[in-house]
Amino acid sequence: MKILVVDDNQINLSIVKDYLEQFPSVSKVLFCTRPEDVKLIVDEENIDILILDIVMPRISGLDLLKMFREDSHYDNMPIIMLTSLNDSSSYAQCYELGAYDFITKPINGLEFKARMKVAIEAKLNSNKLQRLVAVTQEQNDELKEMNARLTEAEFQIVQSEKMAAVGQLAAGLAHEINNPMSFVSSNFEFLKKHFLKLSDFLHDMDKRLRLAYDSQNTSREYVYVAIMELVEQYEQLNINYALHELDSILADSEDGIMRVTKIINSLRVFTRSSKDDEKSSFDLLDLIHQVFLISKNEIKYYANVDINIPDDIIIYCNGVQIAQVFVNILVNAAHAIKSQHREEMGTILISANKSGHNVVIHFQDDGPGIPKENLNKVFEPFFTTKEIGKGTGLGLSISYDIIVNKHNGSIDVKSEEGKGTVFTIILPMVST
Amino acid sequence: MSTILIVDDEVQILKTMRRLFSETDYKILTAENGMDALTLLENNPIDLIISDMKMPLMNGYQLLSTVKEKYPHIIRISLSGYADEVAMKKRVLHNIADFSIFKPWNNEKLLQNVDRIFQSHSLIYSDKLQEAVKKQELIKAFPNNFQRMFELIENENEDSLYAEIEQDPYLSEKLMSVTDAAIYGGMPGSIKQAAIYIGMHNLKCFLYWAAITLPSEQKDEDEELRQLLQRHSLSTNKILLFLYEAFLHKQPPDASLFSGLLHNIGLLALLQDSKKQYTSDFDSTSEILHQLLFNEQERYGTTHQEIGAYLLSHYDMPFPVVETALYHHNPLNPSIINRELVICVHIADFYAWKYVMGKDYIDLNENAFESINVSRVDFENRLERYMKKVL
Repeated sequence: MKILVVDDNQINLSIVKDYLEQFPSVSKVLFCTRPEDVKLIVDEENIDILILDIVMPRISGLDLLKMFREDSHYDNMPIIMLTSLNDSSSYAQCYELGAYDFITKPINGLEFKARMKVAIEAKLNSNKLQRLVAVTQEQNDELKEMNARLTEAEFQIVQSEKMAAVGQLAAGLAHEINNPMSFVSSNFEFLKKHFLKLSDFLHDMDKRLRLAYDSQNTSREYVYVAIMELVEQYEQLNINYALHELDSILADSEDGIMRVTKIINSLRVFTRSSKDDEKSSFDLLDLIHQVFLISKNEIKYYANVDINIPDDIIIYCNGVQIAQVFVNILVNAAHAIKSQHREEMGTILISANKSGHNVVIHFQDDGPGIPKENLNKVFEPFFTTKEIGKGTGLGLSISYDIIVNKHNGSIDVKSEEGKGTVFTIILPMVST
Repeated sequence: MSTILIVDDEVQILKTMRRLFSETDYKILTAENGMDALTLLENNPIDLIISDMKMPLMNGYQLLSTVKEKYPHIIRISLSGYADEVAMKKRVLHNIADFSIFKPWNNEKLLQNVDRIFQSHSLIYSDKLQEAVKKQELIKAFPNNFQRMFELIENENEDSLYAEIEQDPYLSEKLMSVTDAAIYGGMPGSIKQAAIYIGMHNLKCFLYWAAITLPSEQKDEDEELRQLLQRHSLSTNKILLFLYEAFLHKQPPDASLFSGLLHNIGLLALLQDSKKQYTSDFDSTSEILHQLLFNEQERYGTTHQEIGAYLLSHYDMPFPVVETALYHHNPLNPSIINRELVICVHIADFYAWKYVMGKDYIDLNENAFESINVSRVDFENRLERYMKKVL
């Protein structure tokens, strides 16, 4: 604590000095007899408490008081007036100007010490408060930065969750594409082989027929022999089986190619980043079909899927996000059924119906159901009953965010252990 | 006429398969799921089964496991959509399939390999060979510790297995040594590390080799000859891995890492009689060896290659290893499926004998090097340097 005492009278200064040095928290006591120098000293030394004599030549204590109090920079510096005046009007004036306290001259030691004690404590507390405010401000800034980072991280997690989901599906998709590709390519090889055989035969036949024609030999025997040779050669080709299979080969291959095309098309639903919350109109049934196609490989070994949705329901939404929700619920259902290791296939029912301005969509499965104690936790981030590495627990919390916050819809779950689970999603419809 | 059963949940794949087999003499049966397949197996004599891996309710792995247990003589082939590494290793470990077809496949190659495996199979399971094996009592029980280890492998109980191996210092030392040859730039620090590096499926091969090759009081055999054959098999494996790494720039196919060790197992099996049968007729070890290698047909009515292949097949070794046993003296035989592997084992075998006996001992197929695009001169030069380094 640094204290500056200003008085044009030397004697008063030395008296005050003794008293002040008795305070342990006072580290430095400065004196000044010339009021003009006060401001300079206050600034240079960072004075904590100022003690001013009122009556001084050229610049009075009151003037100094006024000057300091007008500058908010010095708001935290208590100013104590030393006065020999005893009229209440000057006291009043000082208080009005912002003095902290008075000490009357001649200085009474006890009174001086008491008043200084109060002033010093007040200043110490004020200092503490200032430091506290500074620290709080700093922490506040840190928190703001942390918040920004967390928001960014949350976005990244959502993105990577989507990527992980897509990655899981990608392996299944590769399989779904690989299967039709394998029979299409095998059929193609088969067709190629037999077509080449046939092509050779036709060339040969062409040659022989020309030869026969050019020979101008019209005898029956000659013609008969020529025909027999052709027939023999045809029989050696052994092409009847291939010709017989032709229709089936072409139909199967076309179907296979169509299947691959559909799968690739359905991927388009996922190609746009779901960061842009852009919405547009989607036919619900189409969307469900595409979602089913993409996640088929995760589901088809464990459950049969029934889709019961009218074909005239249009919803206004972000296709990628809604598709993500549907995929998540479907794959969860399939995995739940898979975990039961059943002897027969499970069932997943997807149904929808209009209800006022909304569409209500149900995803019902006959899997193990969700235990009552977990039912209200399923939408919590990171909640999962799967073993480590098998699921982040984010799927449903992200789905909840998408449906409720981004689409003003609602998502709910009902379940009975041993019987199954129903997820119900309500979304606003586009009115036609 | 052999019968093939094809199982896949995709009808169109079954139709396609039928078509591609249409020009062969095989009878084709098809099933869309595991249950139907098992019903067909119960009611029809089937020689070979091709099964898709991913199917609803009963997957290919479960189906082929059941077939292996109930009908061990049926050749098993897996049809697989995408290679899931973990699943493949498990398949190889339990020898679920003799080989795998990957989708999409090539028709001609598929037919060729089916023909080939039928041919090899008929050689191995011929009545003549079965009789010879029975007569010579070539199939013996393994010592107890090995029995335990094979059981632990069956149950995939890794930690207990490593502990069991560690208890046998001789076995541990051999494992570290053969694994070291398999790894470039790193010596495994422990049994566990070595085992993890080579994989359970290769560890199984190593243990069978050890069970048959390592000394045991119970065997009534010529010790000198046994040691000679052991040295030879270790050298063959070293040279084989060197050939793959330095000239082909890859590893041998999965589960054939130790085919160098196992290819001549037939000789070792015949060895157990050698003391009894031969000591009266021949004086030196090398004479006995010569008999085994070149004249066994007379004594046994069959060759050491066939005996080796039979034994390896019986011990449930992976098919590529069985092929190396069967064809290592005839590496360009058109019946071979894993052509490159067998040629390499043939070459390694030749040089191993040369090294162990100090001179050319068996015949080297003159087209062997050419068919794998490796210069014989280069190979011999580098091999000499390599052998000096590892000794």
